[in-house]
Amino acid sequence: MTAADAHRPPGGTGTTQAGRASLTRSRPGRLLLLHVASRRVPAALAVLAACGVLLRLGLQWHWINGNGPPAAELPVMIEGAAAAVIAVVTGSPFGEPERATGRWLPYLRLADALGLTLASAAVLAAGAAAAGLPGGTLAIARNVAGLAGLGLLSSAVLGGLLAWIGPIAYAVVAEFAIIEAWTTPWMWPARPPHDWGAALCAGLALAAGLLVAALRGARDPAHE
Amino acid sequence: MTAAMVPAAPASGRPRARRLSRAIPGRLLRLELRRNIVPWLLPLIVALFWFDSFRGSLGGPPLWSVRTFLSLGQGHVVIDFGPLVAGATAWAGSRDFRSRTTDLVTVTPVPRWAGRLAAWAATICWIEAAFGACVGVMYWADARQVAWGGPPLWPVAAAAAAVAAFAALGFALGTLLPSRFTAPLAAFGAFIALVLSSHAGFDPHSTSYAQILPVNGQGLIKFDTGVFYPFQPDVSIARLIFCGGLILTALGALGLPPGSGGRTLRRVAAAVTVAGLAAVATAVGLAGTARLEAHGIVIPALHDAASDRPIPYTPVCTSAAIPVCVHPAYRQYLPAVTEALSPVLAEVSGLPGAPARVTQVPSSYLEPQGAASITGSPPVLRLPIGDLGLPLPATDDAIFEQQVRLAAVHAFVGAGGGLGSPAQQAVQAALLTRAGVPLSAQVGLTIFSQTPAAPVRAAAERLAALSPAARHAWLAAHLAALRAGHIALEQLP
Repeated sequence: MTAADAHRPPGGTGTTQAGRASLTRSRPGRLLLLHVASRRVPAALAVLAACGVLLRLGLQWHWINGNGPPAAELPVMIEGAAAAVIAVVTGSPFGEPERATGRWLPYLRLADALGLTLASAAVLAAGAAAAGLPGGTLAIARNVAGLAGLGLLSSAVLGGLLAWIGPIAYAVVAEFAIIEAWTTPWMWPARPPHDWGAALCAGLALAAGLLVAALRGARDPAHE
Repeated sequence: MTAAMVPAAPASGRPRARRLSRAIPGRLLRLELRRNIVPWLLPLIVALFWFDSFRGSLGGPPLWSVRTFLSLGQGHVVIDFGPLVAGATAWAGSRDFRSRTTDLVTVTPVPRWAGRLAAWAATICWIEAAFGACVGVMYWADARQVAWGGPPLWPVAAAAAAVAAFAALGFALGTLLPSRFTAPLAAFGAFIALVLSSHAGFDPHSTSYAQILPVNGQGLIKFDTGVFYPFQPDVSIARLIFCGGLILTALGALGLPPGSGGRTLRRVAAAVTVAGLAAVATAVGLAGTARLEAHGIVIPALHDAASDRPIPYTPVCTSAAIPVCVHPAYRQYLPAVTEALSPVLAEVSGLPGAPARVTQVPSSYLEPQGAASITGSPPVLRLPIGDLGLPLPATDDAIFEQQVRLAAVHAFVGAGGGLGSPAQQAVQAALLTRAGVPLSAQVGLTIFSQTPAAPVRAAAERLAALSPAARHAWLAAHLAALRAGHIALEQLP
């Protein structure tokens, strides 16, 4: 189907007044659906659901023993994976020409990033429900938000398809921070869930990521 | 260059075609080396390596075993490289999918399997060059501070193979299951697998099969490894076979799909895959036969008896009345050990079984950590200094001093490899108190000093409060019975 076929005005060759009104009403929803499909959001949701299942299995079968700092390692890795998925979704299959398609694009990108961040936090919280996750839902929400923000910033610098590099580099450092009990709020996964400084840093990262993702989007690679 | 620009083949076309076919792999490799993602990732990988392995390597006492314990013993160097390498190679493997050139490159004269192998080879060239440079710089920095022995090389080879295995698995994943999610999932999958396998290594109930995992540090390197005895290469060799098998399996699998090459080539790919799987199974089977011995993990089928022979050395000794001797690798700890032992030796001087000499012995994987002993005639205190918390710098560390004193007193009362009888615990606590380690500081110093029960504590306080002459006289009369475990707590003065 082409764009021309998408909403052919009914009943004739010209566009009637009623047809135009119908087109305006249906356009935002359809546009959102097409945008979501172009970014492989359904597949991303499936991967996020798999992350939730993985977290559940890891917590239930005690893949990491003990309740000390090491117990927080597995959730942080899975939260990082979820953030990487959110980040790679920002890559556009159309490249630069898409930027000239209208004023809705920033809103669509924002909706994508925000929706997937909320979905991943919800999926991981559901996966960890009643499984004794250190820090609980609050830690999941904070960590996913911060890591997703880093991923979105990374996509603006490296391009959507390489945006996973930011979250994984941060997650590797965060593992050391957890083991060595760092106190800097910029390593928020190593801080307790009620730490305001860590929450603020993660929130700042998310806000910056969403802003950049909405206004600028992922960098379009000129070539590999 | 287009096909039209290729010069027409001369009459004797076959030799020229052969020359061309020989030149193609080299050209492909050069092309792939130029257009590779890894050089762009190298700064990040090197930064992670510096942050984790390199800093950790420089922080410990100047022994090769200590310096390499974190980076190679626990496999941190693989954690630094593995996830990014897996992601980068998955990205490289899915290039044709991203560029939508899969069909185009399938009809080129070079079989797709060869093309993919060239891409992987170029990637692994970059990765291993970076790996070698990083480990080389780390060893160079360590070698400037370590005065004894040489660096362990087998663990480096095993770690390099593990990184190459992640590269092969990531590349195969990217080629066979290309999507925008493949690279991040390969990277995080590798990361999760590495961290979980490192935890499997610290589980005391883990089977010996877990030794095959590249970040499993259990039993591979202890402080005295490479000092008294050579590094045991058995586990590293098994890991090399395991990782080699994984590489062959992944690379062979690249040649299996239709379109990867002709029938013969795909048969070769299948054979390579089967050989890889066989190597993996063999390595896992070998790891299953591993057993922990005094100087490390031994795999009988891979074991070389030469690595059981002690490394000759001339001990460094003090010239005091009771000489204290240590291995030359521990030379800088001699003053601290001598100072730590002097109040204990003064306290037990003249008693039966009091040491006439102190000598360092290698720490054993089979004995409880920090277990000293007094044997021989004249009695010699055999102290596994490498098992105690070696300080850095070598002097002015109260905990180290207290641990040395505890090890000596524990051996003196004859408590062996356990906590000892209540009477032995009380005498040990009293002697340590007199040697300058208060009761409150004794708890948890080593596994031989737990929180004492109230009667033990009371008896220790009573014995410590006696005059030196009275305590000396009681010990002289009852030491033999105490060491044999025949003295009850109530019999203490």
